[in-house]
Amino acid sequence: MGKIREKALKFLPSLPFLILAIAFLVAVYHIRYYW
Amino acid sequence: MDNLAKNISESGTRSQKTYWADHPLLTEFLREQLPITAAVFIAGIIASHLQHGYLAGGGLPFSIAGVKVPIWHLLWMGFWTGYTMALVGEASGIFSLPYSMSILQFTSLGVSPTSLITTFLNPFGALLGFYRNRQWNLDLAMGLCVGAVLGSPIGPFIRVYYLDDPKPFKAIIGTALFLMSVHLILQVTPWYLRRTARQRAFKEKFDQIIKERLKAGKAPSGLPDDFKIITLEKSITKVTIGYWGETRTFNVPVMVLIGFIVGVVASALGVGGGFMLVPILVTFFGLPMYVLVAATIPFVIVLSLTGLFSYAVIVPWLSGAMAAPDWSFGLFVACGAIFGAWIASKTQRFIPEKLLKPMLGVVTAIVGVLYMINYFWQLPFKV
Repeated sequence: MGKIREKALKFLPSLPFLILAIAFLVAVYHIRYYW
Repeated sequence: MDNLAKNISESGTRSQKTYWADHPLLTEFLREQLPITAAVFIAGIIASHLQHGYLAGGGLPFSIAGVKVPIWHLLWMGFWTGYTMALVGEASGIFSLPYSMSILQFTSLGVSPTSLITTFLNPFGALLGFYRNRQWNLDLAMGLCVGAVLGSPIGPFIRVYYLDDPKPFKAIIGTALFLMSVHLILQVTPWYLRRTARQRAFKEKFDQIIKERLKAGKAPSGLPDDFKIITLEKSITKVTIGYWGETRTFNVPVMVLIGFIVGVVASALGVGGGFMLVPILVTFFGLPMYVLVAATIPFVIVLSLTGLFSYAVIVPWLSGAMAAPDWSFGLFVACGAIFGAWIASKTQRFIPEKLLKPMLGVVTAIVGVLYMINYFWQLPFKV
């Protein structure tokens, strides 16, 4: 449990950047037809 | 035998109790966040059947929005806008509105009231947390809320009569985005940090308490157990509040005026107004983030509700213009946004602000400038 928690804490600072990157890809995928 | 059974059941209850006490995050999620998000999601499904006659999504269009978007995409949009904006201390409307228009192609008048559904529901998850932490003072919020009640019914008329066309509307949104980006980027500059020395002192005190609590093996919270925003003096013209050894006095008519102006602008656009109110309260009143939420959250809720009422009832009644929101669209986005804002509130202290704020600032600046340029010169691509 401790190790998972440690890894999760290490990953947290990059979470918003990962979310923004996915948001960008989803947006590009959605607009592929009408742009 | 009976005693044995009693002992087993008692120890079971005890271990159950310690399990929930050991997992406060899970408890909070299951007791507060899950019921709220599930209720909003179910409300979205019901609203879709009532308003459209079917469950709208990727296959069947949201009739007011006039677009086909899978429900997961709306939940996702709510989640990421709610998450990122809550991280930088503002509501999600100012991000989800351009995304709805440019990516999801929801460009009709209904996008503004629809966005207000999200900005109305989004703060409720956070509200519970702030209320529990006693980051709560209605006397501080009252002046602003009165201004919001007076101003936000006016904004929708501006939207219907002067900003009906998506192009000028996007130009105004672009200006708002650009201003927000300037504020986001400025926040990490030494000049701004020097100006906001009071907040820094508060933050240092806050961080110190987190460290001490972590060392003692307690849940990390930066506010002392006896934290409270108290009203020291209250009259028709002045309100004095106290928090953590500091006192601040506010001129009530000025607060009403600020609430009024932000109310008119925000409801005309269809956003919560946090993007204007937060910089004003931080820069001119020197309020730290942990205190100003006591004013901004009730303000955003009141503004969104009166703005929504104006779009849905007052505007059609007085002008005959149809400006109804797409209820299910807004509710699905709100469902994701509530969850995203909660995740943000729990992870905020691990996020490198100095990197995130300028990055978000650059992204919003690009979108804002594109919207503004497109008003004067038609861009070769759609925005």
